[in-house]
Amino acid sequence: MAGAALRRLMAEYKQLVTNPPEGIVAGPISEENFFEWEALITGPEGTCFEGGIFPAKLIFPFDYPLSPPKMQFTCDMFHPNVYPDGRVCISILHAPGDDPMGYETSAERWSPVQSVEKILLSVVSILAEPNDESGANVDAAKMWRENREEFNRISEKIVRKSLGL
Amino acid sequence: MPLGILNRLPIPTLTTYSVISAALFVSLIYNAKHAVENPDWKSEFLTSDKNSSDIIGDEEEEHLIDLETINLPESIRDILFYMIQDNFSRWVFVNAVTCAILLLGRMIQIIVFGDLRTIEIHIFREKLCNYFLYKCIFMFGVIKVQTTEDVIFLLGWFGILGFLQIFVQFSKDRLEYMATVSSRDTFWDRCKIVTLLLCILSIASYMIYFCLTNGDNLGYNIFAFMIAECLSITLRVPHIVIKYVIDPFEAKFIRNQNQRFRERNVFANFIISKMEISLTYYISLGLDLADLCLELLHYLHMVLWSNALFSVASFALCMHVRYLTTEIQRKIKKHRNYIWILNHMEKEYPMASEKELNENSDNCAICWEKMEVARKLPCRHLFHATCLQLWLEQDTSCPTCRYVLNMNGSSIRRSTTSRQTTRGVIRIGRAAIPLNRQHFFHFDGTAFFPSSRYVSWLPSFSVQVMSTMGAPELSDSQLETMARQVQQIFPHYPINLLIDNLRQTRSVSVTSNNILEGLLPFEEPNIIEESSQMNRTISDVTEASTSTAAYSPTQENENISESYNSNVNIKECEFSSIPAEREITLKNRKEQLFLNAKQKYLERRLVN
Ligand SMILES: [Zn+2]
Ligand SMILES: [Zn+2]
Repeated sequence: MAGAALRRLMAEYKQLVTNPPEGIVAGPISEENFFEWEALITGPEGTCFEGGIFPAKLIFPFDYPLSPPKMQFTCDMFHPNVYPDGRVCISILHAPGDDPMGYETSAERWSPVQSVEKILLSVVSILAEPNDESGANVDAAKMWRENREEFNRISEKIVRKSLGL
Repeated sequence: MPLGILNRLPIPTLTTYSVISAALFVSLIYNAKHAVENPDWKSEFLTSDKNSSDIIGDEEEEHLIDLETINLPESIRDILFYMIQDNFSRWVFVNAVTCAILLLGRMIQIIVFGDLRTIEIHIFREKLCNYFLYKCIFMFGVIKVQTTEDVIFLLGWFGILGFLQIFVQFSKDRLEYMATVSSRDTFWDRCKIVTLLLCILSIASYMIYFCLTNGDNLGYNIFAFMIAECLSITLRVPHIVIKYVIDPFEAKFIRNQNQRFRERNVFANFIISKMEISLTYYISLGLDLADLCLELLHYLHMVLWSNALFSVASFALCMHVRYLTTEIQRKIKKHRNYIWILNHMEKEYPMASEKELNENSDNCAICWEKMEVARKLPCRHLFHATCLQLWLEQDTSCPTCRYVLNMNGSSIRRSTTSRQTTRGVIRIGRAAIPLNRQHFFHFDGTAFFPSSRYVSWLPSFSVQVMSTMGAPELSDSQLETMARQVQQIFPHYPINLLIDNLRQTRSVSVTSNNILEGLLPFEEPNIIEESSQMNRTISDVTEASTSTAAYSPTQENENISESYNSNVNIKECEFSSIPAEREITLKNRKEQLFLNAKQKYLERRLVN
């Protein structure tokens, strides 16, 4: 069934090229391996991540789209829903079977109708509005709640670094 | 700690190793020739041989006879005979043969596989260690070989088998990689691998034949030990060929036929597709199970034979037996679940009618392909039968609307959920240690007490060594190019100052950060001038963008707001059918995104 995964990824890639969402570029790192993508996400306007370009790696399982891909930022990221090593923790990236946080209903989890585009758009939306129920990065969640100014200062630094400045 | 040494054994030393063993071998031949010239040498040996031949096992005797019957010039036969008799030269001979086999393996690897990917090298080392470990356990813990002849004979036997096993594994990995990951056309690579597999198959069958003809001499136990692995290879190779070579072609063929027949009879082609699925499914399942059972029997046999229940060897063997039984149980459970879902779908979810298919213009939401035949869920959503089947194996809701499907029959439902959990566990395992699943001798390190720690930390240790070595001193020319990069953004900084700072930071971005934070003291021009510098910076970036992104027709002295419109340019990209073109387009789009963001950022700083 892996051929099906490849065809589906190709279709998604095509859609992302011909009809790209605002501020998002994504595609396979190498045409040799369609199961590893790099995505560039622009920080949403009007938020503390505004203007940054955040690269992330997407690793697809061979039974995609039955199982969700994994997503990991390859740049510095300080965010309540991103683990310190860059892994993104959002509900639609969790397989229907496992529930690490124990709070999601199955309706919020992965399903084959999700797509790379939907994943990246939801990541943009959590950049704008962190979901502080999931404590992927406890320090960041705490700072987001209690010391917004410091949080903004750090994210400003991350934005600048992401642009190579 | 043979494991540790093996693990860190770097592959490039193959050349030095072969040079050394070639030199040893040549000196041995010279020595032998010298000795053979003495007319009395044979009788000397034969007298000493009489004493030892009682100890030598039956199979060894046969080998010596074999050698004498080989049709060779007398002098060469004498030399060979001499080399096999003397204890030291025998080991040199074995070493030379090993080296030749390694070189042959290397050659096959270069011809058939080309460059290995890093993961394949990693798997190769792990396999080698595991294989070596289990064979040591087998030879010294289970059958407890005594004489050098037996050791050499078994080493040769398992050496050849290990050689074949490793190439089977390589072929499997590579075919899987080609079938799933790569989008390039790989017809010739496939042909090469299939030829290799056929060669392996014929060697393995010859080995089986050898076992069968010499079975009486060997004794039943040794015979069973020796034949088990050959059989497993002969099972595995057809499995691989069916799964990765024949199956894709067949699928393509059936798809074409489906398209031809689709108008005539929806139901008939549904049956065709179903037959195709079940046929390859059952063959693959059967071979899988047969292979696992064979291995299980082989290990059980070893445990029983070794007879010492509390030795380290039998402990390791028992762990492996446990792993094999759970694996077999998992396979069977999965199969029952599969059958149940198949029946359930047939009963509960009807085929969508022609009208429904026409009304629903969307593609299948799971594979994004057009639906010629589909099944309908109670929530009126349509999917391909095969897609739906695969999804229902792991979840019991509609993929589109999350309608919870009523999967009755509580006992079987429980098996579904338990399968889910095992799946989850496996998925985690695959993510954390991707190599673990591909052991052909699964080694549960936690049970095998003294070496368990080494098994777990050695690979990561060697990786760390490599990564720390990869940070050499930066050369002056490298520093200068980096400094020029920084200067593009901060043109008023003198290059010497930047080079000095880069020598410490070793990174363009860190130095730029230092400048932005005012850590690099430099007599600043007055504020108005600085803002003009900023302007220049921005126009520099724009220039850079026009030079890198050749397809965006921007003019040189264009202002910032206009260059934003080049955003529009990237929006209307064509999706090329040529992989190389797609790669270039993607790279350009990424660069464009970066440059636009940089401009925007600098502009915003200017405004504030
Ligand atoms: Zn489908
Ligand atoms: Zn539905």
